[in-house]
Amino acid sequence: MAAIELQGVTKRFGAVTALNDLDLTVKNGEIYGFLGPNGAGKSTTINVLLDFVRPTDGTATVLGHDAREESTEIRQRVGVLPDGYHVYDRLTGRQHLQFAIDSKEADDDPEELLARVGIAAAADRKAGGYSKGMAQRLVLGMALVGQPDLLILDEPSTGLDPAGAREMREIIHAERDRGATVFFSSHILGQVDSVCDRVGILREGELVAEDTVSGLRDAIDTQSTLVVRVDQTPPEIEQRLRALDGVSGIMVDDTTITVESNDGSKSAVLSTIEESGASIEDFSTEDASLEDLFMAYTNDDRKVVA
Amino acid sequence: MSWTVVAQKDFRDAGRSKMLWAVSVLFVLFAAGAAFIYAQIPALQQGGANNAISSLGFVHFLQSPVTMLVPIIGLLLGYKAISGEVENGSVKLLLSLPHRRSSVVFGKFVGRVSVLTVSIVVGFAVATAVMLALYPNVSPGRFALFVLLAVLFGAAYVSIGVGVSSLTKSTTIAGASIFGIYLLFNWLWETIGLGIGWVLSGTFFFTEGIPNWFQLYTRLSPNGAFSNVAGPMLSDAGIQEALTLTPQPGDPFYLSTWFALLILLGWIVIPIALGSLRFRSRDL
Repeated sequence: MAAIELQGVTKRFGAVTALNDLDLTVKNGEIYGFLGPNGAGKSTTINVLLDFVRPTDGTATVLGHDAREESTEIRQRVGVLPDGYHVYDRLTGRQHLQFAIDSKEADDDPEELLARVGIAAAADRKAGGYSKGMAQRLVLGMALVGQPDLLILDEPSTGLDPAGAREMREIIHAERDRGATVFFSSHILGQVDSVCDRVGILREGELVAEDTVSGLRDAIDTQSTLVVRVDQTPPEIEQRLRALDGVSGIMVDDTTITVESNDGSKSAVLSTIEESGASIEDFSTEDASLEDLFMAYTNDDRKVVA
Repeated sequence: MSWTVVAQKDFRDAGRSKMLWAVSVLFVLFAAGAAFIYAQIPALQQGGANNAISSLGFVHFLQSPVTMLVPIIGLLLGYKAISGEVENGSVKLLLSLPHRRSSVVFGKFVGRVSVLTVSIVVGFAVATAVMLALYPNVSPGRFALFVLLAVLFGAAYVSIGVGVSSLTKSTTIAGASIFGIYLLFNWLWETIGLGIGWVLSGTFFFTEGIPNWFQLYTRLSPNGAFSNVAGPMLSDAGIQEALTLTPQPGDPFYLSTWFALLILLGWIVIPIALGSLRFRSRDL
C-alpha cells in the first residue's frame, strides 16, 4: 500500500487550473521531495490530501483511506505542517501542543516535543509573540504528536535560519528511521538533494519529472554550464548557438552568455561566439547542478530547451 | 469527543480576547449599575402598590436593556469564530488535526456560549450582590430563571454569529452581516411587520386589535421570542401555568409561551446547523 496515491487529480478554481490530471505515488517509508516554483500547485496538492479543498476530478488516497470520505482517519495518523497557517496568538506553546495531543488522544509529553523542536524555553510564552521561525518549530512539534505514520510538510524550512533548517532535516531523517513516510514540498532545491529518497517536480499543475536524486544526477552528469563574458552580444547569437549539437539551453544577458551543453561541445560554442563578432573577455565552466536541472524544468524565462 | 477538545481550546482562546473582557466589564457595570439605579428610583419600580423593592420588579426592569446588550455580546463572540480562522489561516492548524468540520463549528459554538455564560453569570452575580445589599425582598429562583433565559437568548445570537461566520472567509463581510442582523432584529423587525400589514390590508393601523399573524411574526425574531418567554416566566404565575399562557384566552397554540420558547430554541439550533452544512462542503 502506498502512503499517498493521487489518480488523475484535477483542481480548478474558477477559470484557473491549479492541478491538471495529476498522478503521484509516494511509497511507504520514503522521503519524497515535492518540488516546484511558487504557484505550481504544491500547496493545492497538499490541501487535497487533507481535504481542505475538494478536487474537481480524480481521487486521492492517503494511508489507504479516501481523502474525501475518511479524512479524520487520515488526519489521525498524519502529522502536518501546513503552509500559510497562523498560530493562536493568545495561547502558549505548551497549550498548542496540548491541544494537538488532546485532539489526537495521544499521550506525548508537551515538554519533550517542545525540547525536540528547540523551543522548550518559550513553552509558556504566548505564541503571538513568537518569531516566524519559532512558530514554524512549534507547528512542527504539533505535527510530531502521536508518532504519525506520515508527515506532510509544506515548505518546512520557511522562516528557519540555516541551523534551524539543518535541525529540520535531522528530524525528517529521524522520523523516517522511526518508520514514518515523509512528504514535503519546497521551491528550494538545496533543501531536497541532501534529504530526499525521491523527488518529483511539479510545474503548472503537472508532474514534469520524477526520479531518485541520484537518477536525476546521472541524467545531468554529462551536462555542464559555460559562462562566457563578452564585450558585446552579437545579434542572433542565440539562434546560432541553438543550432549547435549538444546545446540544451541558452541565456543571454548584457555581456554574459550562459550555455548549457554537453561537455564535448564547449569549443564549438566558444568559436561560434567569436565568429559572430564578439570578443571573449573571460569564460568559465561549471558542472551542471541539480539547481540547473530544476530551473530547466521549471523556468521559462531562461529559454531553456530542455 | 472531538468537539469538546475544540470547545475547550476555543474557550481558552476566546476567553483571552481583550474585546471580550471589555464587553464583559461593560455588562457587569451595566447589571450592577441597573441594580443600584433601580433601588434609587422608586418610579422605576414595578413592585406594586406597597412600593416594596423586589427582585422580580428588578428583573422586569432589566429585560429591555438585556435585549439590547446580550445580542451585541453574542454576535461579537460568534462572527469571527470561523471566518477569522479561515482568514488568517489558523483553521489549517485546527483541521490538520483529526476534527470533523461539523465538530469545529459545534465546538466553537459551545466554547463561545461558555464564554458568554461566564460573562452573563458574573454580571448578574454582581447585580445579585448589589441587590442583596439593597433589597429587602429577593426571589432567587426567578432571578436564576432570568439568568438562564438570558443565556439562551445569548446562545441564539452566538449561533447566528457562528453561522454567519461559517459562510464567509472574510471577517469584514461577517462583521457587516452581524451589524445588519442586529439592526434587523432590534430596530427594523416590527417596522417590516407593519409594512407587511400595509401590503396585506392597506393600512398601518390595526383597527380591530392586533391580528394573530402579526403577533406570531413579532415572536419569530429572537428578541420577540425571548420577550414573550421572559414576560410570563417572570410573572407571579407558576412555571407550568406560565408555559401554557397566551396573550388572550382562546388564542391559538402558536401564541403560547412554550411556542415562543420553541422559536428561541430554534434560533439556537438552526443557524449553526446551516453554518455547519455550508462549512462542510466548502474549500478552505
